[in-house]
Amino acid sequence: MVFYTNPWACIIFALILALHAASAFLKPIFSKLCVYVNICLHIALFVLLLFIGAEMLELAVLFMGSLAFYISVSYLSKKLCERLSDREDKS
Amino acid sequence: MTFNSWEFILFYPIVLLLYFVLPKAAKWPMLLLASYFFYMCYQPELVFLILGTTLVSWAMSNVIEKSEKTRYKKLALALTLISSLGVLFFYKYFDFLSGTVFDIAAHFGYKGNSFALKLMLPVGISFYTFQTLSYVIDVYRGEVKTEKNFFFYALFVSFFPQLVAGPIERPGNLIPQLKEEHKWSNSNAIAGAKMLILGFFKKICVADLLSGVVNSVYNNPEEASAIGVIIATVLFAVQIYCDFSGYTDIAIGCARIMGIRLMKNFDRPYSSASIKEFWSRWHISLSAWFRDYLYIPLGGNRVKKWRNLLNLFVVFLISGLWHGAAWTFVLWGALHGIYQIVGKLTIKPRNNLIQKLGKSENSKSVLIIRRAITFILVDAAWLLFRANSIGDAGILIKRLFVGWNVGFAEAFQDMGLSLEFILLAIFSLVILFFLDKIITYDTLDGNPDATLKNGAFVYFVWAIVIVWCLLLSKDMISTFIYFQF
Repeated sequence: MVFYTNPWACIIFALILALHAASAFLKPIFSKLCVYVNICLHIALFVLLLFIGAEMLELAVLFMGSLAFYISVSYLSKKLCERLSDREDKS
Repeated sequence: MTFNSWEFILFYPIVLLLYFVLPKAAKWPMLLLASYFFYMCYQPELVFLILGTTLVSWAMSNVIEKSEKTRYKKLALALTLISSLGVLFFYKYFDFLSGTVFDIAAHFGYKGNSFALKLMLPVGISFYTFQTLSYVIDVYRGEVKTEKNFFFYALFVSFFPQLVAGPIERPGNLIPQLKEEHKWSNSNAIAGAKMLILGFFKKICVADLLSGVVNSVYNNPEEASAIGVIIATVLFAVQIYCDFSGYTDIAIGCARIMGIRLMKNFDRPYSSASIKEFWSRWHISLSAWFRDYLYIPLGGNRVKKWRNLLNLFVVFLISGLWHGAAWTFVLWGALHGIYQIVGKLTIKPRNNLIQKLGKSENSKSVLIIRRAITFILVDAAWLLFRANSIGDAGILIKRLFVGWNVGFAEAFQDMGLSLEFILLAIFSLVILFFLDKIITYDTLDGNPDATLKNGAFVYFVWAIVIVWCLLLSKDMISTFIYFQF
């Protein structure tokens, strides 16, 4: 894997993960904004990785990793919200 | 032309465009032509088979409805059963039966050559045969009126999204929908597009990705280690689920964009807490078919206990044979039959045990254990299903006992698993796990956006495109497993 040898690629990937987490917890309008910014970051990362000579397998690992993180955070935030609203209902 | 081919990516938008542009009277003839074109892209020379089956079942259903004497109705039904199942037997099972007879004869000293037709198996024959049979039987039972227009009936049999691998639709559900006029609807388009994306994701990013690992073990059973067999068998459980449910999702999605709702075929089968529950969640359209047209006519659970158990076994044995003409499938079906019988016979002792442990039947810990046991049993049966032959299955089972001289690292190396590939497999499984919880057939009409934002589907498309390119570069794109049935 060559992606971690390039600091810019690492920064963009960390930003992608941070925006995934943010989009799961923020209000809808900000969340949507996060999603659009994140899509742009994915494209930027894709171009950068191709530029530094990453293989298709590495690209697939990073993008699937990003998706796995996104979907798990989305699910956990949903569960968390449900629990909080349950607690509010009870109190 | 499979769903994961460039031809289909061209074909489907054209059909969709015509479907919404053409006037109502021209819509269904166009769909019929498109469906036959779709089928002929596979095997143009075998189109007469589906046409013949359609014609015979339509003619016989008309005879059944029009004749007043029960004798004629029964005769027409019998003729349909004989002709449809006869064609299925001839193309799918003849070589298997003649081979078996020859093997038995050879065992007793016969030294002749075996007689095999070596015919090409018509794509989707098991699916459309069962669909036509359900129509004729429903007409016989008076549950469905015959379709007067032959071409309309032909569309019901050949509707392209579900033609080659189901869901096995019922006439009562599909025919009225095909007759309705569907206009473009944004909600249908979004729901359908989501199902399409999910289906492609399951097929390309999970099933195709895992197929290489599974094949490396199952195609070289003698060299497999015990760890390798276990990993490959667990991964095959995921592969076959994603392959088949992925196909169904694409079929449901394609139809849904046109405003047609196909029936549910999967409902998170690996979360089942018993084998009985598994079969109510896996390939639902086939399980329902066997229940309505075989299990209940055999007496269902209204007969004596031993007869009921025998009925269950027979149904699963035939279900195994339906999947393929090989002893591996027969044994797989028989094993599921035995699971069901043992499950029925041990309900009381199991419940007593749970009570003695001071737990309730639905407590979380009991549920987790039951789910784990069910998965292990289902997965053990998948070994038979996937093995290339009974001999290979025997070798793989033997390797489970004697192949422990190899560690994890070596086993991974033997299977050609790099760190990147292991990461990729783990990520795809994580995505699948949450995806199945978030978007299901039932929540499609709800508001799944509460969890997954609309824009998020761009991520999925992105992942599909990248993994597809990866698979293409490694020549790992494969057809759907259930096409062979």
